[in-house]
Amino acid sequence: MPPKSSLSMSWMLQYLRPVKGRMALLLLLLLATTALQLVNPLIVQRFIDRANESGALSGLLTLAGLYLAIAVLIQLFTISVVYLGNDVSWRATNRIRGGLLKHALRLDMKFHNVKTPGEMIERIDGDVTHMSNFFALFIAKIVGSFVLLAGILVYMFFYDWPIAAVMTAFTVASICVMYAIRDMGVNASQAERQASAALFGLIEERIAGIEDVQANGGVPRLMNRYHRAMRKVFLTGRRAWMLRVMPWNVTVVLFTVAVTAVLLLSVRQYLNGHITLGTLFLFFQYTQMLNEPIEQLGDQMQEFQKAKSGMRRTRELLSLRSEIKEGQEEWLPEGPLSVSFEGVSFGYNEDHRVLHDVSFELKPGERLGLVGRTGSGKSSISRLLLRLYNSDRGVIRIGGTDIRNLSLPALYRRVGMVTQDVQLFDGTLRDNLTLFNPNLTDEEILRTTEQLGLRSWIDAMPAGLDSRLSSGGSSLSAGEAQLFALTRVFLTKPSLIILDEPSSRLDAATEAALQTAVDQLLAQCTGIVIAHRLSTLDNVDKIMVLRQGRIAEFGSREALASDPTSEYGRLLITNREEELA
Amino acid sequence: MTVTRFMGRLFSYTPSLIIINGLLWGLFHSLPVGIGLGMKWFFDRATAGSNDFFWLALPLIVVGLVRFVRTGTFFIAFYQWVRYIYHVQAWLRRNMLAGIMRWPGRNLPASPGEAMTRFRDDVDEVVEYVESWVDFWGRLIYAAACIVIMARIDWKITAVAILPLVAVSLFNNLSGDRARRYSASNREATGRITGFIAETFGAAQAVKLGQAEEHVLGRFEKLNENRRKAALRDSLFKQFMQSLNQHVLSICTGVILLVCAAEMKAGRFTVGDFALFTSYLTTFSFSVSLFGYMVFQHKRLKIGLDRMRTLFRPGEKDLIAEHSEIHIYGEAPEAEEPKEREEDRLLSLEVRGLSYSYPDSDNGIQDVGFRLTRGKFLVVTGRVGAGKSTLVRTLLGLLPKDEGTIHWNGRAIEDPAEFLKPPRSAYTPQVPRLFSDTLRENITQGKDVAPERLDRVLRLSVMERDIKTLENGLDTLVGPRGVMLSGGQIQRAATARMLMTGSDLFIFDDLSSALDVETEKTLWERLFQEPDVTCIAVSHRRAALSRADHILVMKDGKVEAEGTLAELLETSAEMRLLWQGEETSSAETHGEDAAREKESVRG
Repeated sequence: MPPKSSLSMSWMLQYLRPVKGRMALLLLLLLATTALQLVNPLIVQRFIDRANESGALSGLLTLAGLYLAIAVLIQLFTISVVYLGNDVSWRATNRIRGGLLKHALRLDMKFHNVKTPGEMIERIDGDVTHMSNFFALFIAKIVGSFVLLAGILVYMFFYDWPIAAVMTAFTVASICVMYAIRDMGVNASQAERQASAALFGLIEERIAGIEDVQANGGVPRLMNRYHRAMRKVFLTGRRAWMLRVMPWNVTVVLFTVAVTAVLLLSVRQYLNGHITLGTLFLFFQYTQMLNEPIEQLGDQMQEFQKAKSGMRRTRELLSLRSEIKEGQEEWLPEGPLSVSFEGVSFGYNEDHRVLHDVSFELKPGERLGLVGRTGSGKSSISRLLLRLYNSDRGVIRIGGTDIRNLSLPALYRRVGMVTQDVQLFDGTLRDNLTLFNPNLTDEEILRTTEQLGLRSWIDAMPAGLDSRLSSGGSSLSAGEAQLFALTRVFLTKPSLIILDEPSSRLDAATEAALQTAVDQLLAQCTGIVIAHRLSTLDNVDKIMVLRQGRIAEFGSREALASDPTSEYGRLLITNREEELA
Repeated sequence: MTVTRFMGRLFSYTPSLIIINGLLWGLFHSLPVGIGLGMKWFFDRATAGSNDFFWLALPLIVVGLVRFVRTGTFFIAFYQWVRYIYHVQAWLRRNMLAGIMRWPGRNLPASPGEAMTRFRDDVDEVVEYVESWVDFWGRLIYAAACIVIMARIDWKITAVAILPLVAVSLFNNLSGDRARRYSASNREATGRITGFIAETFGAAQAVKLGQAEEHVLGRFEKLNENRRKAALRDSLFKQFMQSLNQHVLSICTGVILLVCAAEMKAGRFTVGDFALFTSYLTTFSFSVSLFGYMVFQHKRLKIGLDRMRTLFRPGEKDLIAEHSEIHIYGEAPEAEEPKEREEDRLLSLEVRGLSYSYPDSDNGIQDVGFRLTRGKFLVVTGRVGAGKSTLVRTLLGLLPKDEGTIHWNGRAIEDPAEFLKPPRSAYTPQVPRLFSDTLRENITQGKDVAPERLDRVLRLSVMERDIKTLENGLDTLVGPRGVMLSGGQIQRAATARMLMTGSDLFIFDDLSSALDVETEKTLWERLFQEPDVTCIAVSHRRAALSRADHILVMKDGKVEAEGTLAELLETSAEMRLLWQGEETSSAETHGEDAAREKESVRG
């Protein structure tokens, strides 16, 4: 059920609250402009009546001069209104954009796993920009039009109430009709926005993965996909545009009827001698003036429908709630943190369980090596620990506290993870290493990069930490990117760290150089290392072997390694054989 | 390509649409001429002092009818215009997408998020300019008719109304540079925002875990604020330019009043004339604004056009206006399968003096060469940053080579990106990307494939067991970048995609990095059981090195040593370091023994 229009308007207004000072000024200017607009036809009326009577030419010239002065003022005010309207709109919609980004980032990974970056561009920027057009013009045009309309009608009542009554009736009728069919295009617009988000999602994704597309001959197929997506945009868009334009057309027809009726009535009044020629002309001018606000209203209806579909999509996004419920607890013990799993079960969907009844315990400062085939549930353990997903059953404790009771910032302040998938931003090296945290000093960054062996690489860059990583770090090798990710996490000084195959993309020589640094840093915290290269795990205290989501083995590394019948012991042997085969 | 030539190409792309739109909108915009004449007619009759209501009402009814016709015209014209919008959009986007796909993929002129503003905002700007052109003809007819009619009533007063037109057009011409500058900075600010959104959501997990939400938001707000300023300047200037003529002309009405006061007094200028003038001038001012605005738009489009043209490779920039098929009325034809030519079946691949250096840094590769014949296995090894991936990418044309030659069966390959793709070669990048489709669609790349062939490829890439554990098997949606799969599954799915192409040469960039030992072992075993497989693999793993027919050891972008494993272990210190590092606990001799064993087995 779509939200009521009044509801969405008030929802939008909340973003205008912080700019209410500007809004007040804007409305004031708008009223002044409208008042002046109403005055000028009156001057013309006097002008015509005087020209037809016998009067001094100087009186006519004064009226003309007055008209000119007011015309100049109107122009100045109009420009100010446009400026302020735009300013208010950008300020308000930027708040919406910020709110959306923040909200979307807080959503759980299940959300992020199905949204392409291109689609997010459309939802956070595209949809909001539609609203912003509306915001900017809504204030300047719709409100202005209404004020002008009301002013004209009130003024007409002073002169001739029957004519004014007819005009009012028609105006009210037009507005009612417009109101009744205002939503005609909203659903179609929403479909259009969806199709366009899908198109941009497709394009963005393929450009981001262009190497995969090109080198595997995927380009012709991509063009085919593009044509299909664009066709969908065309079909939904054509329908949306046509439906959106209906209110405009209907209003213009109604207006034509109204203007003709009013003028015919005026003719009757003129012939009866109730009004002068000047007043007849005044009415003609007012009907001309009404033309514009009414057309504007109709026009804005289109914008309104676009904005509304954007608004619906925005609110839809804002109403999504993360499945991860945050706790309140902020406190965790100082120093390395203990970890315990008690009967934890988990699946990404209901039918397919990934972890079955997993229980184990790590003391503060211990390092655990996690071994198992692809799909055995290694990565799931780390994702559960970081509350990227909720476990279905069982309790996970960090530092003795159930993680469900912890606030997420408190958790992430102390727990870090390095994965093999390194994501880089188009920005400076510093931005990429600190993730835009301005509180980290250069010394800290350089010290950590030194430890991890990235320092010489940074020094070789033309502007050091200020060098830009061109388009998402395409000049970085995967190994270098991996070092980046390690540095990033170590800069946050975690008390529990999870390394999810951090060295898988490094060659052995580099890995060996890195290992000392990793060991150094691991010395200060509890560590969980996931690896399929067993040599990575030579320095851990404990080993867990996972098989199909169950713990096949858990114990001290030394004991398991020296026991050839143990799972780990056997793995060591086959591993060596494989490496040497 | 100038804006003028570009617009010429655009209009000649769908001539029928521009003609239909021009005619319909021409009618729509010129009908107000009749409304003005009707009103003059009416006021002339009103001042004539007759008392016959119907005689006086007739002009009003005629005016009403003209208005109705105009509304009807609008509806039809609007439909045609909407069609035109989507033609232009589909056409430009198709050309841009095709254009960017011809770039060396590792060396794009813009980040994906930024490129998106070209597909969206710059295209919209073209549409906006086309809209002006569609309106132009009607407005021109209207303006000309107005001038003629008004001049016949009183040429002096008409001159007062028309002079500002000249002034304003001149002014617009002078302010073009400024307009362009404002527009460019606005677009740049927008590009930075879309780019940032794309990257943020591409890195959602890193942002969450790095507690960076607040910092990212802070950066986003800063970018937003910059855009607000840029957009405000741009739109204010645009608005000012657009409405300047209107401003000037509403002031002109005042001047006309001043001028015509005496005339009216003398009875030479009637109320009907005055009605006609005011009726015309309001709409006339729109026409004049449009002409002035079009000058401005024309200049501003230069930026948008340049930004779109950057998506094309040097020398191909004009393809932006290529007359291509857009298929918006019917299904697009199925993608054509690449043709296999017998003389292109791989016999030998020879690379000489291949060099590439990254801009703004000393990294890259210099003077790399090798020779590979059918059925052989070449392994490229070396440390992080040694240039292994750079070598493979330069070979494939994903990076533009600075120097060097590539010969396929002895024939020089000028454009490797165009040639080294299926059915000749296929590639799995170091960090493969899957797309948000089903797994099947990702592996087959949308082709219809016989189930047996799919099964075979899945078995070769050791994927068959994973399919069973996935919720919907091959029809599982893998999510953006394949996030619903594990790293190992993505890597093997990408391998399957590569094998699916049935190419002569397979290029693995560090395939094994996300695979566990057993899976990897199975994969190599199965692959080498296949007859006639030619491979280039970047790897530092023993599993790969020991199967290699030839090894290139890279260091600092150059070939440090090359040869068979046994030779290299004897002669190259770098190779020994890499080999030992790979199995720190085993002694050096172990490795050599194993390598010799291997040689004897294969030999």
